Amino acid sequence: MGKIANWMRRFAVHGVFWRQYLDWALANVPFYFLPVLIWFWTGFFFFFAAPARHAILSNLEVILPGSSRLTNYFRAWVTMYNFAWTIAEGSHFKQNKSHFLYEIEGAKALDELAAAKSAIVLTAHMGNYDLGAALFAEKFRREIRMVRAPEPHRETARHLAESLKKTGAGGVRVDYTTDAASLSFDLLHALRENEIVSIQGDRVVGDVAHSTTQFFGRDVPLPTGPFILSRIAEVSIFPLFIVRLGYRRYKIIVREPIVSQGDTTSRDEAVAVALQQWSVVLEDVIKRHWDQWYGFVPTFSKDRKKHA
Amino acid sequence: MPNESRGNYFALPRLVQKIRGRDAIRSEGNWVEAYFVGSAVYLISYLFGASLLWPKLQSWRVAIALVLLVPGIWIGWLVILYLNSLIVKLCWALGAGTDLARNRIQSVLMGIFTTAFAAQILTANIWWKWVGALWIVAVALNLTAAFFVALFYEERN
Repeated sequence: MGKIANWMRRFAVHGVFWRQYLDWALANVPFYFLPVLIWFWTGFFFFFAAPARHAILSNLEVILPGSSRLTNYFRAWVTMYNFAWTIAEGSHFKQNKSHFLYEIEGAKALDELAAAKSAIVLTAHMGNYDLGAALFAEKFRREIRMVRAPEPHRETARHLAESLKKTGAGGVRVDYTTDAASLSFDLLHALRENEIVSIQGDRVVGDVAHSTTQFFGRDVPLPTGPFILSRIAEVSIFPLFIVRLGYRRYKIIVREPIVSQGDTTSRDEAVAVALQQWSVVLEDVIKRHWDQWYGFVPTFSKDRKKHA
Repeated sequence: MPNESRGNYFALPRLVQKIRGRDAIRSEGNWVEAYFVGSAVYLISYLFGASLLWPKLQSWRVAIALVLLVPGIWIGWLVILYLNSLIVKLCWALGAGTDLARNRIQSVLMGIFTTAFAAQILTANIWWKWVGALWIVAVALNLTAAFFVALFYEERN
């Protein structure tokens, strides 16, 4: 019975079957039929991935207040449609090293990041962050350590880790937040070895260090690990996002670095200030690209921890 | 990685570009082709299904069938694509088309299926038969263009 249940988990929304199917489809389906398939699969997951749909709806109620429920349902569909495109194009890049167009917003900050000895890239579950890391690693010939929340399914996690390895072609290394304490030491070591560390700072997962800050006018817990790490390692934090503009077209958004250093204030005060700066940046980017924020967790709801 | 978009997948726009003296490489990066041709394939398949149902059902039953046909065609294509993938494997096992990618062979098979659907629409004598005619004309033009491109121009990917 346990074996059957385990096998059936492959077909759950987060199951590995869908990732494997995507790889199969990208190899077998003519490129011009992918938009049709993506449209229908979005409809399928919009219906069956109810927790994700509810999370998007609850987030949209705060991000775009005053909208009708029906409008937000449509927006939730658009968000899922963009997500489908994002993972499809990410996998396409992995399999075929396909050609992608990109433009840069904040070229000066990006150059600063590329020239930095070591730095923390703070990003969100937004746009195509996997592709973004791969593009960055390729463009600037820098190795990136990506920190991710573990996938709920073991096989999916293994599949995703292999995919990211292929996407980055050796330039992207993935670490998981399963053991927050030992990971912190690893990341500190990586920063001191002049590496770039990429962390998603829009969601608290598991027992990672966090603090409450104002986000869209609500008290929301956000991870504090990147800011503590930046202070100890004395490196800057670069907010970076990659949003999808259209068919194989992306925009890399880089903002001015957040500096969480200095001796005049206490660590907690400095972290609180940096966290607030980050929440302002994140809020601004999410406001502009609400349809590409894939935090499928009700960020503003009291039961967010249960979902995370 | 050059950060610019160019190229077309289908021979007809590539031939037009070449006649105009422009560089025309084969590429899957054209969004117009990606969205337009896939939608056309789906429309033809849908109209093919509808043309089979139309004479057999009456009033409200037609309406329900036409609604159910929308996801039905999607599922139908998923099955066809899977069966086609087996044909591709067979071709490769027999040593045919080994220099072509799987989705290129699938594209040929999809073209054959869709053209057959379009021919069926054309013979069904329903008001939307002009859509089938349009598809067949487009396929004929594209094949002719492919012939001229192969004959007079060097292909680049």
